[in-house]
Amino acid sequence: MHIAVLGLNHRTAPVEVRERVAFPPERVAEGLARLRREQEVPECVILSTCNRVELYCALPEVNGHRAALANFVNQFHALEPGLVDQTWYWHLQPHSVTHLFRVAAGLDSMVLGESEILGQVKEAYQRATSAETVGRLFHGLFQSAFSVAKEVRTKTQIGRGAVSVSSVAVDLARKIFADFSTKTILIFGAGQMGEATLRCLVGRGARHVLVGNRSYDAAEALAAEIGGRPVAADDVPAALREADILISSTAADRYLVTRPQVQALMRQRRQRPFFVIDISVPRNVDPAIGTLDNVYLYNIDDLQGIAAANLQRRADELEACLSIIDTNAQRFVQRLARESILA
Amino acid sequence: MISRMAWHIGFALAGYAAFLIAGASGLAYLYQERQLKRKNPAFLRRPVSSLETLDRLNLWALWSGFLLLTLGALDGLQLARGRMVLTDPKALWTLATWSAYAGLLAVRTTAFSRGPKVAALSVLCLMLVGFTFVGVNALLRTQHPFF
Repeated sequence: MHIAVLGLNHRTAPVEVRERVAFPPERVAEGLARLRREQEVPECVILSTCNRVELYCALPEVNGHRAALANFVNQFHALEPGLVDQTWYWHLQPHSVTHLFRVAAGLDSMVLGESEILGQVKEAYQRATSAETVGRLFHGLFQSAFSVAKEVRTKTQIGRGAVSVSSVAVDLARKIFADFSTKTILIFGAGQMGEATLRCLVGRGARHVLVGNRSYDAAEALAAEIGGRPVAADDVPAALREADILISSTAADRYLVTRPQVQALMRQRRQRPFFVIDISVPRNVDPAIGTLDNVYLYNIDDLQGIAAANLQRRADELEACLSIIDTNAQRFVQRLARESILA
Repeated sequence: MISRMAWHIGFALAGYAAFLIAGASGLAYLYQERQLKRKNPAFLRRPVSSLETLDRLNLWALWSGFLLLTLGALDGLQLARGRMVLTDPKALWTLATWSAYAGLLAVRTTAFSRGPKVAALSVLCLMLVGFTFVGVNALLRTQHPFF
């Protein structure tokens, strides 16, 4: 039996193609059943995420299967012929095994080393198990992929350090505050990145959110969505007294928060730590406040710089990760060969 | 039955141990605070306790140490029945240490200051503890034959 994978991903196909080839969760079982029945594939798993569509199949022999499987996807989604043909990649054993191990470990992801893909591979495997298209071979293959992914994450630093502006900001906040649920966050302005950061903090347990905006309607709309309290623009200086975390994301062309203001504020706050995230360009917070005790100021360049350094660090770990993957893939393929001789 | 002397020594040692925790958490606070101010990406990748956690541990250890040292000193006063309190260097340095921590706690709890300044003072006060605990016996003549 040969392990083969037919797939496309963010590198080989644009989103316009990926979205047409994707298997929605509710249609995966149907896809698996038809794959088994129409293509006479004894074992198969369909991995379909926003960045990749992959069909893992156990084939009695490989000749002609690439075209047949590609054709199957075309028919399943009723695609016009030729739309995706050039975007497929086709890996056979041992490359198919190495490929799955790389995917599960997040090494083939758009954001190198991200861990969400491992959950998605597990989900795909569970769907296929429920659809009874997983046998002894694929149980062994996917369990190995999960344990290799775990080994890669524990033995290297591939998953360490946030790589997006919003998650870097949340990481920083966690280094300052023990518990977000008791902290008050004030967001001022309606920038996209500011909102993303706020949502990340709320996702990590922040409960008290104040939303300030020049337009009170906009503040009200975001506050309603997040479960926060809208604050009129004139009341923002007063709201600052309550805030432990300030996210500034406005289009103003001057400093809205100044050093003397924060100096006075810190006395009123009894020197409780104050984390300021200034995502605005031009900056809205006087950089001089960063020198004050218990004030931690990060602007967009700081956050992007940290994210880039973390990404570079992940790239530096790639070689070590690949070495773990190659060793394990080799071991897996050798075990298969031994078992097939004994069988 | 535990002797009065054992209580005296026990309270003092437990107090010193608590001050050691306060000093260590203060040192960790200072290090992390500096890394955060420097915006060091390598530090940010490391899983460490938050500044808030270190600050809480520091305050808890300061209070515990202060209460234990107070109890130890009161026991010592009773044991000495007023003798040697103003003449023995160990007793005098203990009084100085106790006063330093009382001042530090006053500063911290009245929120005149907190964060890096209190953390630095915890480390400085720990040095005073070190001298009272070891230095006095090594350098001065004291009626306290133990550390």
